[in-house]
Amino acid sequence: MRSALALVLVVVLAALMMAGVSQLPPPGEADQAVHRHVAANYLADGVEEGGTGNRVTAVLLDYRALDTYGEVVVIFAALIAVLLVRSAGGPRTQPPPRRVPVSPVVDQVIRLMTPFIALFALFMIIEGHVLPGGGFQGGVVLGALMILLSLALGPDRLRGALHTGALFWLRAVAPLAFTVSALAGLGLVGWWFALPEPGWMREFALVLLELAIGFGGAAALTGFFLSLEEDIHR
Amino acid sequence: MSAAVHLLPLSVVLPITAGVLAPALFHRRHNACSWWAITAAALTLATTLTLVSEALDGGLVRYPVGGWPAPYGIELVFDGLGILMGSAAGLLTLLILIASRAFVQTEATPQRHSLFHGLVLINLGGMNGFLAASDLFNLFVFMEVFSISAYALVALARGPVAALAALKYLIVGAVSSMLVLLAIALLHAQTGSLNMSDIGDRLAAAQAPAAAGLALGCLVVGFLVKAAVFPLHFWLPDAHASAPSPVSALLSGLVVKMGIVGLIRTRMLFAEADIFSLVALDLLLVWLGVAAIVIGAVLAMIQRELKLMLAYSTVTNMGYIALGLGLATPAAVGGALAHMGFHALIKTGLFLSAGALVLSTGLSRIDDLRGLAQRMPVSSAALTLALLAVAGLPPTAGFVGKWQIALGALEAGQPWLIAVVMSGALLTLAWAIRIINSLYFLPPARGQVLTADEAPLSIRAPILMLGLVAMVGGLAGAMVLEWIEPLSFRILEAGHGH
Amino acid sequence: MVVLFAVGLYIVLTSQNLLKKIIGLNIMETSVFGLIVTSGMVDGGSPPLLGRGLEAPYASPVTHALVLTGIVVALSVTALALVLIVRVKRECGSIELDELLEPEE
Repeated sequence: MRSALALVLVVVLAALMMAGVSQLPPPGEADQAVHRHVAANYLADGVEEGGTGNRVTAVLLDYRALDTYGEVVVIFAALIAVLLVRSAGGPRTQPPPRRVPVSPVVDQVIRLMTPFIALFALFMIIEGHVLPGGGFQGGVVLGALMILLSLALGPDRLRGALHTGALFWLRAVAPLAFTVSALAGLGLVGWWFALPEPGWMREFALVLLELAIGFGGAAALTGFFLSLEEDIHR
Repeated sequence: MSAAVHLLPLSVVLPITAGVLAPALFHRRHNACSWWAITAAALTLATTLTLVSEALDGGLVRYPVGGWPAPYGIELVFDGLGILMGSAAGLLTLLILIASRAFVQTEATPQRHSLFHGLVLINLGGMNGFLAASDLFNLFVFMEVFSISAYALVALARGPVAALAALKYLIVGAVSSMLVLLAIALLHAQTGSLNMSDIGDRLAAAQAPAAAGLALGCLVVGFLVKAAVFPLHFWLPDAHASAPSPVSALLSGLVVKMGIVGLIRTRMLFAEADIFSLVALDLLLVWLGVAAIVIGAVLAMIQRELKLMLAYSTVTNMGYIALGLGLATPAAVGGALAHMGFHALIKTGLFLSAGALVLSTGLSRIDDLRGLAQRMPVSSAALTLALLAVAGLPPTAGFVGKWQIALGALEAGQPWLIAVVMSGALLTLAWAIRIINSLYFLPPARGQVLTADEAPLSIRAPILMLGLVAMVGGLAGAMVLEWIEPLSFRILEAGHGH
Repeated sequence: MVVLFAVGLYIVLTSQNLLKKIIGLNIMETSVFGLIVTSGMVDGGSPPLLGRGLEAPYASPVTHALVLTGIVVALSVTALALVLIVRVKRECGSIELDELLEPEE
């Protein structure tokens, strides 16, 4: 009964959405509003404006830096939210599930691949403002690497690696870097979130921001994984 | 342009940065954390109040972030909504933080204090950003900032009930967020812009009324969910009643109002685009408002738990606000906006003082709390004042909005709506009197009531202040209505100017 | 895109399993991201990297930035939801809604 009702609702909604979406300009044609208006300006501005030739990075870290600030705040908020709501040590109704040991093949492969993955992640983060990639993407790779490592070596090795206080600083590094950059913009250029003026300083700021986003993102991913793991197993 | 405009981004960055630093600085020193958060909230309030005086002097405060002019960059705008809700958000968060010292010590382990304070500050920054956003995607980002902290704060309370309520809130909230994002995608695909007034200017040229209508529908439904307007209120009672009391105050007082803010922004965007008449939307708001007022009040009346009653009362009051907006006359819109601000004050006072009673006794049912006024005179008095205000007796703060909305109903030529406004107020008064009666005039039924201690000063001071403000707030009604007049004028002008 | 959105919404509405609801939510999110990226693409276009010898037309950089932000938000919400589900499972022993709501109440 309930599911039939939901089905009717969803079908009606889908029909409405189909009507709306099919009226959108067809994708792929270069002379539509999407490409002619704001985006065209970003592309016409040239390499100097917005700090970098990679326009996606320019949009993220310069034109729409406030959005990206909000974004790293969302990750950070989610991370402390996870730490706040989890039930670590709380009551449980069933015994925890057993950990499945990792096979030696997987273990060896992870150990073998670690330096390469780490190198690739760093490359994505540092070169992200010129080439495709960037802090978020590199951070995800780095975070995935940490999760792999915790599977191979056991989560406790990873957990013990950093002091709790230091860990909180690492997790907070992305929003804090943005605050610093925003203040630097206010001091040097006169606008919150503006990138500083000479080209080399701007590039320096971009790389620092990307590094902060990358490491902060990796720390957040690892934090999500470790707290889930802890909640499930003890 | 005076230097004060630079304070606008500060009102967002300051609380968020303080919130981000809190866990790193205070993961060991739990008591200092509370002072840190209170200081940060007070500074944010000072920032917002400076902006308010700036905006009252010279109209809107605009700020192109990064120096990029809209629509290429993100512009922040501090307008009437900022004056009204920004100052309410700053003030109420500050009072809630002061009062929450006692609550958090019983609800959460010491390790979580810094996390709690961090999230409350991030929530404040998110709301300030949301209020100032003039860019649709920026609006979405800040909506997520305050939503995600709100989901988590609900689950701060112990026990599976709170976890389930938070999960329900999260799922419903995430679906509504996705509707908003879908609408942003539709509008961006048509206009190539994300700035709201720029979209409004360009939407007609896109000549895709169905796509624009779909975007409008998605935005309206998405924000109605966030605002918990009937019948999309189903997540609210669980979440607001099972959360710790300061969090209930924060959610019921401030966070649901943000949905209305989003609704107002949506209406202004589409009124500017002027591609189709918004009469249907207004009519929808009127009917939903009427239903919410009556059903919310009836449901509040049949509850037995104090906090559930208050949660359903939020449903009623969101109905009043929706009704006022839907009537779309100067008096009604002004009334709706004033009620948004005043209800935030009243509801915060209600939840904090009710929370004080629940905290001291460990009991949550009205019948169990009988006779508590003798042991807890201050908290009971504060609760009583706020209850009278929420029922809308003159000259309380709750009276202004309802009176204006009733006037608006006359203006709109729909006098029968006055009966709805009145009946909502009377039903509310009925259950309010039931609570007051139990507290003051019935003999105690439970042992905990006889041994309960009055709440500590950190709770008594804020709730007494809120209760008094709620009681006499109506006297300041004319002033507040004057402040928000330009805003209600803009909302209406956008609708009929073309 | 519409189909994906509808499927996701249907799962969110009807599934009794909390985990499946979250999966449904993610399907919905993916459909919206798909729509955003598609609206910014250009046939035969190149990635929006200036100064690298790539020829116009470029794909729109704005939509890419939007999707990146959207994905991050979705990931954060999902992570929080998963932790809440684990807590419900620990404290109630089940993540099926019909089982959770039956006893007492």
